[in-house]
Amino acid sequence: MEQNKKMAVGGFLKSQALLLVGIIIFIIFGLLQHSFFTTANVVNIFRQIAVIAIMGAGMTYAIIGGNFDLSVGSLLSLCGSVVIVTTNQVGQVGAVLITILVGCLSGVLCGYLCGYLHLNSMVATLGMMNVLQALTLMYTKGQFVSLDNSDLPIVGLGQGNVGIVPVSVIIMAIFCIVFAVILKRTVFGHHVKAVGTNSETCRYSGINDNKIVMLTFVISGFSTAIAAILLAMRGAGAQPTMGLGYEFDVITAVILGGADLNGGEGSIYRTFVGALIIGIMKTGFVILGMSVYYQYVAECIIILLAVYMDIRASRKGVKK
Amino acid sequence: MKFKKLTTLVICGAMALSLAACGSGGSSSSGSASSSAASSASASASAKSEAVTSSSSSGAGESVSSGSSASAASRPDLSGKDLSGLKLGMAFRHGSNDTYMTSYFQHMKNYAKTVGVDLVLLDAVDDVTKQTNQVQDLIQQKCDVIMIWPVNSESSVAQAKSVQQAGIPCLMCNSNVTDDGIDYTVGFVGPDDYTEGYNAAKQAMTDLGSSAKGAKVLFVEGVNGQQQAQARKEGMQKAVEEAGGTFVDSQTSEGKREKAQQVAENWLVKYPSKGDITAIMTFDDNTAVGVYNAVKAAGREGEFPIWAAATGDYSIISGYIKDGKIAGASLQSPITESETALDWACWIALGNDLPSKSVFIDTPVITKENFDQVDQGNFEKLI
Amino acid sequence: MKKVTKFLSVNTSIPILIGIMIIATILDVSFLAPGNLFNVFNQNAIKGIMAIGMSFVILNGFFDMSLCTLLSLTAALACGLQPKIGVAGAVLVALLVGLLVGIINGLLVAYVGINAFVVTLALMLGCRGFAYIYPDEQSISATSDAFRAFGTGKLGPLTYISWLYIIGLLIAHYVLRYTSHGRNTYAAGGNASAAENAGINVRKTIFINFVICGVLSGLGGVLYAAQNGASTPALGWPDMHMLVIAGVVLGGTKLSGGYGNIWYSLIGVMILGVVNNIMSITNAQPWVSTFCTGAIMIAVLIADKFLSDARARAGLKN
Repeated sequence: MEQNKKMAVGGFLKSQALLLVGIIIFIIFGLLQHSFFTTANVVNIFRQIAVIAIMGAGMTYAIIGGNFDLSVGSLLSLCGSVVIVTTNQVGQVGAVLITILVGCLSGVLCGYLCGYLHLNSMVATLGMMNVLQALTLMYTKGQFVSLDNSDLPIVGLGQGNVGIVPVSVIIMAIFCIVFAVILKRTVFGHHVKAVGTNSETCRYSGINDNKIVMLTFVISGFSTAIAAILLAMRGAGAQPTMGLGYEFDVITAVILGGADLNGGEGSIYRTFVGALIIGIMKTGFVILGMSVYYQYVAECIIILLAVYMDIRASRKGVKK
Repeated sequence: MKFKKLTTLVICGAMALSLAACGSGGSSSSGSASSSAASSASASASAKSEAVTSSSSSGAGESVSSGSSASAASRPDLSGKDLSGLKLGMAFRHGSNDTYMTSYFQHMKNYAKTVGVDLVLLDAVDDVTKQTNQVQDLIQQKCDVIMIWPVNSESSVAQAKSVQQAGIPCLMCNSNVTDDGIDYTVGFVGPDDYTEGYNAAKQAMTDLGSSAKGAKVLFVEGVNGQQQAQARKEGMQKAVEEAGGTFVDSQTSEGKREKAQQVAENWLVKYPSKGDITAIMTFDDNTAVGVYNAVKAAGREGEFPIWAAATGDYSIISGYIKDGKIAGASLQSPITESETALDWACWIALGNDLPSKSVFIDTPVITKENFDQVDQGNFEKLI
Repeated sequence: MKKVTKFLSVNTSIPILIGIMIIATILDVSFLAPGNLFNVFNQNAIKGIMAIGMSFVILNGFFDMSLCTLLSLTAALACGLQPKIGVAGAVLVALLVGLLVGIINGLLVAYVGINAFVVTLALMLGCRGFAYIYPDEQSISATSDAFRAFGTGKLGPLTYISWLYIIGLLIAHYVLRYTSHGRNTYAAGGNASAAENAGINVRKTIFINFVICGVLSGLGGVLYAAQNGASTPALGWPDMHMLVIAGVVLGGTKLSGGYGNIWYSLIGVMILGVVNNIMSITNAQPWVSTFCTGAIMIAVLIADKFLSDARARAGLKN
């Protein structure tokens, strides 16, 4: 019990340290450029990280389970295009259902390859990334697709506001909270952590580790589908290469959030804070008028510092 | 287990065979979401007429090409010539990034079939290493002429050199090599990016009237290191500065609409009051729509004009420029450009020379005001 | 005959490569033209050189994600510094940067114990930043003619770069088979704690392998710059490192470490190269090319899984 308490306290401190770093960065940017401190800017930041945060929540499950999902960028492009084209064809409700189905199907396929066939998840999801990108090109014929009727309520998902809070931010919050609860409080969540820690012992305990891994990929696919709907609705259209490179931002958010890439540990809240830090930096450099690419150098340093401090802390804990 | 191995091999083979077969055999229609709009709203333009207008001026010292340019986009007279034996190769920049490039790519394929030439059209998906390999592949396939729309102009110098060394004429399309590579090519066919940017911005500053002097302009860039985007930026900047304004801020959009939207959202926060921004200019129509979406969402529509250096997407022209949501841009027709390039490539393959080292295609500035007078370049052919 | 069958069933990527080449010939017989085959080799030589470096790291049980942006940075340095300190100086600085990144990767993974994915991802981000900041987000043309001539020149049917690759393969083979570092790499990759107990300095082994990978990735960037005569900020983004890792893994080297050899990386890189070549020859639609690359990667992984399961059941070892 003592050990559990220490780990719980350690995890709590880690989360707060991360949030503290985010706040410090925010303040630094604000001091350099006053418009950073406005409400409009804060709203902006949250709106812009909605997509990465939602995808990050799903990716956290996959990573806790011990796998990577590199296909999420191409899946984002595919689902974004699907939701626009199907809204034009079968209406909003059908479009949302079909898009979620596409996301989950991709998750099932990835999950089968990595969970049941036990293929290396990095290379297998890389292959899926190519396949999904090809499907997107085939589906859209390389064209930018737009909604015929941009006054539909579904557009409000991407563009609407409730007061000053964008709808996409509200969806992001609900999503992250639900996923966090599932991870921490349900049996399924515990099983995911167990499988990520040691899948063999799980099998002896009667947990179907193949099924659990498959489900983590389905969750990742589902989150990507939801994120794609929000992203496509922001401009009521989708470019076929929309999601290119997103997988790295998402994985960076999860890593900044301190998830253990060997599996078994991670938290949706910390992934969210990781996404927040990325968002603050992206916006910050644009507002400062500096090259956006400084953000990458900053992320590199923050990740290394965060992980280094984490290792020092755990070493101290072990030594005691 | 041998059976399993055999099965997997056979499955791989069958997959590859079937996909390659349906890929090269079937000709894909170039229909798109915008095609229905094109068919109903397209302007007259039935014949292959050139876009002629009075508002385009010759480029003010473009940095890329040397030598004199043809005055209007002339097309060679290929009537009566037998083109069936010709084999052309094209290393394309990115056939699926946005509607303009996709239209060019698809129409190039279809037009080659109509004309009756054998065209090998390879897509480098914006990867310069892939394009180098594809140029080598085209040389290996012994094409009569090789056309290149470079992913990166600096890198295409080496590509053009290797084509020339193989004894094949190298024609640059739509984006030229840098100056030190000009001698390896037989010429260039395409729009003049610098002039496009210059003309569009010049029209913008003229329309601003008295606000032109001291104008605070924000600029959304294209993909970094890409010469077309760079040339358009320089052209626009020159025109803006000539009229007394400045580029206050300039950020990249990586060629994506939603990134441009994000950049614009951040700027709207940085410049919250009316009058902070005099105009926003972008390097292309795709990103201009992203900016427009951000401006509309922030409720600041109409506060300042949005201009694009160039447009080539009919859905944007009819959806945004016609009613002034985007104030204007230089018009590029993917139909005219792809057909002109292919025609000149055939001309060269038959043993002739280009009329001049650079054949520039006219790109008139199109705005809400002159919308009906400007020839919109046969967009109905995209159906 | 039995020996050949046994050889092919152990080195399963060879029949896969032959199978793909047969399919290519069926689709278009010009695939087998010697000019085309040499072309394929030349086109993939640089990826092959980087795959040599990656093989060392993968055999040790890790992987290096920083490759894709590191090569853009070294390409920019190799071109940008030429006017100031000459070709030799520019190339040297570029390789030193590769060395530095390899050292940082090695130190953090081997001695501090941070997860390799995290370290190399972080370095990838850092290099991406510098790859754009250093050249001011622009492309840089190489000014030295000798540099460009090396990148495009040929000796016989193979380019200078291809010859460099062949020399690299031979050196790497020697190191892996006949030096203690090579043996230690296999041991540490197969079972790190057993290797430690046997007295092998596992940390030093890991460190050296990351340094090798860093230098060779840096070299890859320099060679791309020589071949293209210029550097582009987006060179290698977003997935060059994944293609190199895929090349190594498709050849038969296990990502978990301890199993494989340098010739597997040659086969794997050529498998991907042949697939690209087929797409060009058959003038396939772009989406077909992307789809096939992905499908084949997955198919080869599955095939390899069946075959290695069979091997394990039959009790065969490394």
